[in-house]
Amino acid sequence: MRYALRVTNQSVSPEVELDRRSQILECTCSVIARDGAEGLRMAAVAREAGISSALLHYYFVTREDLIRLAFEYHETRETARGEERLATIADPLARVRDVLFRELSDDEVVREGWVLWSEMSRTAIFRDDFRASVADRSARWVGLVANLIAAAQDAGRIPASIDPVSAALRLTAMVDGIGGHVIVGSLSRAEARRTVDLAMNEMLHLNEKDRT
Amino acid sequence: MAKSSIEPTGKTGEETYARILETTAWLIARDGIRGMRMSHVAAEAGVSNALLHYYFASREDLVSRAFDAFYEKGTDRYRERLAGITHPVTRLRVELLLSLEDHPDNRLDWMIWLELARDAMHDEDRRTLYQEKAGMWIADVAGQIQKAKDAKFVPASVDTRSAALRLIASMEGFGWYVLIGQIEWDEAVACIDQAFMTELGTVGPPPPVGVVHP
Repeated sequence: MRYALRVTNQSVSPEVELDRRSQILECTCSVIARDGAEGLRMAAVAREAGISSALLHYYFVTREDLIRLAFEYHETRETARGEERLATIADPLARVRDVLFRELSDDEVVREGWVLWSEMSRTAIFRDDFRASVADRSARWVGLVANLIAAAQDAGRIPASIDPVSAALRLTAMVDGIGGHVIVGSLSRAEARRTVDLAMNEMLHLNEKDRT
Repeated sequence: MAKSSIEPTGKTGEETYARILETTAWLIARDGIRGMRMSHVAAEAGVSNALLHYYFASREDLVSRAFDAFYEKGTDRYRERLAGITHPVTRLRVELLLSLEDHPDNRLDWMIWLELARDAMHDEDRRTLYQEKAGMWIADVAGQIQKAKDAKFVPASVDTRSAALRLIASMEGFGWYVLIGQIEWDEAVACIDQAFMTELGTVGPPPPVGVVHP
């Protein structure tokens, strides 16, 4: 995917600035999804985005900024999409299932997310700013699942005896592990889904009619 | 995958060989699989480039053997700690808990494992390696669950492979969360213990003192 920005002057409106930033970040996400972040060169991103290296550096000072902000851009966009999806689902249990199963879907954007997460996590071991960013997004992901579990409890679909935060942590950790196997191709999506279904039955103590 | 590589002979040879593989694993954790250089391995392990190339036909060969040794080493480390534990449920439980205890080896092990998973997303050879090692791990845990089922310590209704897969995936998730600083080791241990009981529908006899932290 190529974005020809053809910029001739930099005194543009804030809206255009924002749009350009988004386009560059989107482009960075696809470059990382394809090649990984390890060998990412800013020149390659500039080329792919159809802009000059100078302009890219105007928006993003360092390569690390670009990688971290691309990850955060991806996550923010995915969160917004997730909220849109959830708004169309009435059943509280189906909402829990939706966010967990989203991570196992074969959507290209989801694969892109897996690559970004794994590249970020790798660097997070050595860099504080990456660690803060990835731990923050990870905590939000667990928090979202915990909230959805709590809502399903309010609706009487999951027993009140379950601790939503602890159950969410266990479910997300498992989905994060399972998803890795799917992305690498050592596990089929069908088996992954079945595996997570069985886990939901047990961990959330679902009643007979809600079991899959 | 082993090509024309030389196997070490004699005690000194074996020690050097083991040291090279250990150094490689450590450098993979630090620099990544792609960032790992054979010349760095030689320097860090205190061997000549010639000797390194005598043992390992190529960089690929070194990486693949380092992961073989990494898997073996993990198994050996557990074997020592599991000595004397005969109950199949306790053995598996202790093994799972050990993989998430607060120990420098665990940090390194998870870094190496996640690096393999990361690189497998981009590289065909690594994908094969990851699939092979993950397959061995799942088969090992599944075998232990089956043993516990055969001995009637675990309900027959438990789906062996599915439970093994979930336990391993959970460990990988918790290992990851610890590395990125989202949870602490003791939380991970508590979570995996809960997962264990949920999956196998049993608590079994308590693990020996000194294995569980919380």
